[in-house]
Amino acid sequence: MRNVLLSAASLALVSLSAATPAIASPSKKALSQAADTAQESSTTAVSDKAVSDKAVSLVIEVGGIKKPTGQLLIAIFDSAESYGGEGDPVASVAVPVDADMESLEVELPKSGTYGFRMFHDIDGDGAMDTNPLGMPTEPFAFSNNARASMGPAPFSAVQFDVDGSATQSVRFR
Amino acid sequence: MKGAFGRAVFHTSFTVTDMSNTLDRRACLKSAFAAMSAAAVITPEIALAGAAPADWTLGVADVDRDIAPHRMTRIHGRSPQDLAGVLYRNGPAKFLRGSSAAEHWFDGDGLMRRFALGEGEAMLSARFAETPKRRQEAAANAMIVPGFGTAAREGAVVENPDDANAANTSVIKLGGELLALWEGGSAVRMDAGTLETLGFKTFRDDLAYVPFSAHPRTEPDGSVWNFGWAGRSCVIWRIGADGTLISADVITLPRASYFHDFTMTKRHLIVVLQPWIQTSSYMPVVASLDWLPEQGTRILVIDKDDLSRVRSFELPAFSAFHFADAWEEADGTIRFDGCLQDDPSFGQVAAKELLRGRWAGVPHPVLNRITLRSDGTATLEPTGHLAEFPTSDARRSGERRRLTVHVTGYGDAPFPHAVGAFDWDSGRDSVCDFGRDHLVEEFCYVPGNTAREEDGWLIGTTLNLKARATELHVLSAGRVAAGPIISWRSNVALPLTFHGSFVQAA
Repeated sequence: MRNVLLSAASLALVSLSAATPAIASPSKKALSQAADTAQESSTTAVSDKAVSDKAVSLVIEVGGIKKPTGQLLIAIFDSAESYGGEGDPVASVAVPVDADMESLEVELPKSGTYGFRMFHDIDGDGAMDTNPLGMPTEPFAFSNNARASMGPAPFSAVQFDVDGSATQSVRFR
Repeated sequence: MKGAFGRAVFHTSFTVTDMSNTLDRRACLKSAFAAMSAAAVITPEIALAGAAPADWTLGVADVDRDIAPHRMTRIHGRSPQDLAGVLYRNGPAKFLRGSSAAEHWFDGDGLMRRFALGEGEAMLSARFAETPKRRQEAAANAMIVPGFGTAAREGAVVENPDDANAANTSVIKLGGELLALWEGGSAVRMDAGTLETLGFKTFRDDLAYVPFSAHPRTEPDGSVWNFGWAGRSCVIWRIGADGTLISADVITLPRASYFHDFTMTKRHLIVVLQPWIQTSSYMPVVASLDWLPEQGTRILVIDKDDLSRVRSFELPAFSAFHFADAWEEADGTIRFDGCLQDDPSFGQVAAKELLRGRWAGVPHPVLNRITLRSDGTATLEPTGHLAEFPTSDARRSGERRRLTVHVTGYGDAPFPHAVGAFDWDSGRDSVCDFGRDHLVEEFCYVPGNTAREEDGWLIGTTLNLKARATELHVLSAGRVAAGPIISWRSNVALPLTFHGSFVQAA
């Protein structure tokens, strides 16, 4: 069993400085944005959604990993707008996958409502692989184990509250 | 990839951040299918409340479970010597769960039938393809997964096309594997003997979920061409006789016409773009298609050696599901047959109404010869004969042939009562009419002991409404009107199939 403790901001910076070939540019950009977002939010005023500006912990238990290779890429959002593409995630996380992986812990800037989606980047190229018609071919999942149905699960299905800490058990189909 | 015509729509920059966009692109608007009318379905209760259902409704009856192997009873005749092998046939057979029903004939779960012939005996077994759709719907005790004409219902999980795969349209044995075919997703591997489902066929990891249509066409060397329709994008598959992938190229079509079948000559693939065109991403598929007859029908002739080399022909609007083998003459003239309708109302409306026990009375398709000339002109020659499910002698793939085998004899009912072999030399249709008590399914052409077309056999099935039993028949290709050489009757009435293939014993 291996548990990974991550701070979203620090992880993003570590990943960037490591600059491994496994992290492709789109992810670097996302991670960089995530780092900026995280650092900004730690110094900004409490938003109406957040109930506290104290850093909180989100534990994500991951099941259904098919191959112990590559990385998990997770994007965490705090609003339906950013989740829907109008804005950046509050955190973007990249975690190497190995056979012992069971859970990971992400530090979030404050208590509040969040939702995330993640995919298993099996070949570690930093991007969701697709078939020639653009359909995703790497496993993906959503918080609350919400399921996509002919489109991504909506924010209303993936949102959950974090009050000091929270645990999400998510399984790839 | 080959040239500009074959440029794929790749989305290589897919990240978690834009996952929603990619999912949206291949999928449908939730609001769209939410707006579809609530399902009005022929549940057992509705059926019982009305008048006695028409006898043909046995052709779309619901099957609850697999059919164990059993010996069929010989009704009459003698089996031709040397005719040994297995006729596999596939078609939808599960339409009802709980108080809900599939909304379209094309959306029932695929039940693979296996008719094994040898030493004068025939055995029948049948087994459902165990798909994610079937598992979801069994767990929900409701038909919830969307399809060609069925809208998604509460609780459906469709994360990729194979979550909706009904595996219900056709079957091919390819490279030693038995594949149940649908047209919106992957082929499904089944054990050729036990019909146990073995999983989806992925020809290469990066080709998961790419549609592999129910109408592959086979070269004389056993290799196979197929397509996967995806709106304006279309995948062209080439599979070796050993079942391994040769190529899978994406081509872009000039318009997003829906098509179910294609045909080919030795040198060309022929894609008929009827003006039934995808104009939205609504689900189910029929809701995304508009009939735009003013745009006419376009026929693409694509060079097999260079998919970017395409010629286009124009014809007045017609609709069609099925075409027969094509050939090319010395001056470049291409000829092939199609079963053509004035419009797509069968697929749009009638095939939904069938599951409610009603026949919408739409016109049946007519056998036509289509000719494409090297000067760029195209003509249609209607034979006047009603015809669907055209088949022919596979040994003549890409060659001129005389016979097109087809079902016919509809009367005022939705399903045919007869099988015919149309002779293009004489212009005569030799027909075996099984009578109103039989619903006739596609007949496959099986080569006989000589190279002559008329020495082959036609093997196929009927649903005997009076005996309430599925029957298996063999006819002589040259003497169709003489009726079956031999017929067997099973002890079950199975709903109608779409397509089959005969695998001759080694």
